[in-house]
Amino acid sequence: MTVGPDRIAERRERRIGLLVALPSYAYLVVFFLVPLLLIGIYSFSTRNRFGEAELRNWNLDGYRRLGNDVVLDIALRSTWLALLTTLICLVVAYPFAYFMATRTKVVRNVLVVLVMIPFWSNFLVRNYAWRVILGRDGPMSDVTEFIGLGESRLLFTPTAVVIGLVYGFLPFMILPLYASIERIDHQLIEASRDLYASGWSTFRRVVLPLSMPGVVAGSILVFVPSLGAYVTPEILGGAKTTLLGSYVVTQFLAARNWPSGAAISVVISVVMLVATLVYFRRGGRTL
Amino acid sequence: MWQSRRVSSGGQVSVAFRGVSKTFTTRGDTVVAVDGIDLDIGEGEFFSMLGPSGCGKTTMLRMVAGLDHPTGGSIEIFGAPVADVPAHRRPVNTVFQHYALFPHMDVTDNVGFGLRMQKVGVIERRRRVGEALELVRLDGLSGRRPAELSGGQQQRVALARALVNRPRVLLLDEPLGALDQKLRVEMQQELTGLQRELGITFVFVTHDQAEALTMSDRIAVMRDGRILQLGTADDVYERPTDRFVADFIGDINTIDGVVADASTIALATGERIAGDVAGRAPGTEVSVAIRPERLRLAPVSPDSADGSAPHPHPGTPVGRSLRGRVDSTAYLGNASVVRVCVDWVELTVRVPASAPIPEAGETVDVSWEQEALLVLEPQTSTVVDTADVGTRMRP
Repeated sequence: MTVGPDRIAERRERRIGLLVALPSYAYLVVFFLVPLLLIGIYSFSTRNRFGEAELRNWNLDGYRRLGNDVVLDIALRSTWLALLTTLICLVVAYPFAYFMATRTKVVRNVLVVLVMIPFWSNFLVRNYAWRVILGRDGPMSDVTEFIGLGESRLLFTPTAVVIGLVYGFLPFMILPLYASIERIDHQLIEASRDLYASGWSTFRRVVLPLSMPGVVAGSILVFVPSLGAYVTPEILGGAKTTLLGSYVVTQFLAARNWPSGAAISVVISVVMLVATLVYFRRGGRTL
Repeated sequence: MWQSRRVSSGGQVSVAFRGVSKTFTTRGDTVVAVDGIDLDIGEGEFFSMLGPSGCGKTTMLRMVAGLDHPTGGSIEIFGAPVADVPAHRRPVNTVFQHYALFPHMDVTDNVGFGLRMQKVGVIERRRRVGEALELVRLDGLSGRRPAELSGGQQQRVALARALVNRPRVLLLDEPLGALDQKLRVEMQQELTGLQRELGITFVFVTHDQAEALTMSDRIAVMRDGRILQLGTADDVYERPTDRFVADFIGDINTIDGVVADASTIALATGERIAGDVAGRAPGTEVSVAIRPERLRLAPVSPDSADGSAPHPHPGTPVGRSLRGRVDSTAYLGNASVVRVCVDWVELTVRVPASAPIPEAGETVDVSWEQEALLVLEPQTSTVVDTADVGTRMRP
C-alpha cells in the first residue's frame, strides 16, 4: 500500500503535537510518576532498627501491618467522612451551580469569580479561621448560646472536619457542575415542558442526566482529596479523629516506619484509581 | 398550483389571539416582538406564519406553547384562555427548530416521553410509540440515540414525539430549516399528507415563502410583530395588498409612479400605463408590481427600434407594455430569466422553456395582461384589519 500525501501530513502533524506536549509529559514523569514509583519501591523495603528504610531484603511487612484494626478503623472513618463531604458538597453545590448557569453572562462571570475568591488566600490560614469560628469563644458559640444550646462543642470533632472539608472543596464541586449545566441546550428543557413534564420531572429526566459528567467530575475532585486530607483534619479534628492522611504522616515521621507509610499510600492510590475508573464508567453509561 | 386545497372542517376556532402583544426588555431597550395581533386559526387548518427573522412569528408560536407569555392581550385554545395554564398542561405540542431531541435517550424513550409524563401505562405507551414511529416511517430505528440518526431521521423523531400525544394543535417552528433541499421537499409533502390524515391543526412557522405557499391553507405574512396580510397562498401571491408582501413572496418587479387619472399611472421612468386607480386622487404616489412570469416579451424590428418616438409596435396593447433593451439572460432549465432595462428600471421576465429567448442588446416590448398588474402603496406598509379577516376564514 502506498502512503498518500494526506497520511504523511497527518503523521507530521502528530509528530508536532507530540513535540508540543513533551515538556508537560516530562514534568508529569519527573514530579508525579517518579515519586509514585519511589513510594512503591519503599513499600517493599526493610525497616532497620534505627528506623531507616533499607532497600534490600524486599518483603511485604509494610502491607501486613495494614490488616490491623487500628488502620482499618482509620480507613473506614476516612472513607465515611470523605463520602459525607462529597455528598454534602453535591447537595449544596447543585442548586447553586444551576442558579449560576441560568443567569446572564455578566452575572455568571461575577459568580464564577466569587466562587474562586477563597483560593486567593492561604489554605492553612482559612482552616485556622474555621478554628476560630467553631471554637468555644467564636461566633458559632455566640449563635448556639443565643438560641439556648450552650457553647459550641464542634471544634475537634468529625463534624468540624466535615465542615472544613466541605468549605475547602466546595468550589471543586461547583465549577464542573456549573460547566456541565451551562452546556445543556435550553431548548431541551422547553421540549420537556412542552411534553407535559413538570418542573421536577424535567429536572429528574432531563437536567440531572445531562449534567452527570459534572456530577462525576465534581464528586471525584472532592472525594479524592477529602480521603487523603491532612491539613483540615489536623487543624479542626483534634487527636481523636485521626484520618488516613495524618496516619501516613505519622508512619513516616513519628513512627519512622517508611515501608508501612509507603504501603498504605500505595493502597490508597490503587483504591482511588479503581474507584475513579469505575465511577467514570458508570457515569459515562448513564449519559 | 396556488389553489386552496380544501375547505376547513367545522369552522371551529382552535387558537385565537386577542390583541396579543409581547415586548422584551434587554439592557434597558424595549423590543416589541408582537404588536397587538388579533387572529383566529381554524380547527384542522394548516396555518403558516411567514416572515423574515425577527418578525415575531416564533414568539407567536412560543406563546401558544406557553414558553413565552404575552405582555398584552390573551390567547385562547379551543375557547379557553390559557394565560394561567403552564406549558406542560396545554393541549399543544411543539416540533422545535433544531428538534431538541433528548440526547441521553433512545428513539423509543424520546417519543414515549410525553406519554410517560402523562402517566400512560407501559403497554399502551409501547403500542402508541410503535404507531407513531410507523407513521413517520421510522420503525426499526427505535433503539438508536439521536446522535446516531441523520438530520431527516431526527426530524421525524421530533415529529413522532409530538404527534404521539395526539395534540389538538401541533406547533412547528421552522422544522425543515436544517434539512437539505431534496429532503425538505419530501418532508413538505409528508407533513401536508400527515396533517390531512390526522386532521389536527398545524401552526407552521417559516421564513421560506415557497414552503408556506405549497403547504398552507392560510398564510399570515408578518413583519415587525404585525400581520401584513392574511389569506390563502393564492391571495398572498396573486393579490398582495402590500409592497413588502409582494416582495417577500416570490420575485416581483416594482416601479414607482403617480396617479395621472382614474385609469392611468405615470411611471417614474416617464411612460404612462393603464391601471385601475379609481379610488386614488391624481398625484398620489403608488407602486406598480408585476410577477416575472406574468410578463411577455415581443421582439421589435430594428427600424422601429431606431425611432426614438415610443410609438407602439403593431400587436402590443396600448398602456400595457414597455419598450426596453435586453440586458442579460439566464437559463434555468425549465425556464429562462431575461433582464430587460426600461430606462433605468430593470424588469425581470420569466420566459417558459418553449418560448424563444432574445439576445442581450436586443430591443423588446414587455407586455402584460391587465389583471396581472398590481397597484400598491409605495414603500410604507399597510396593516390589514386582521380581526375582520379572521371572521371570514375561508374564501
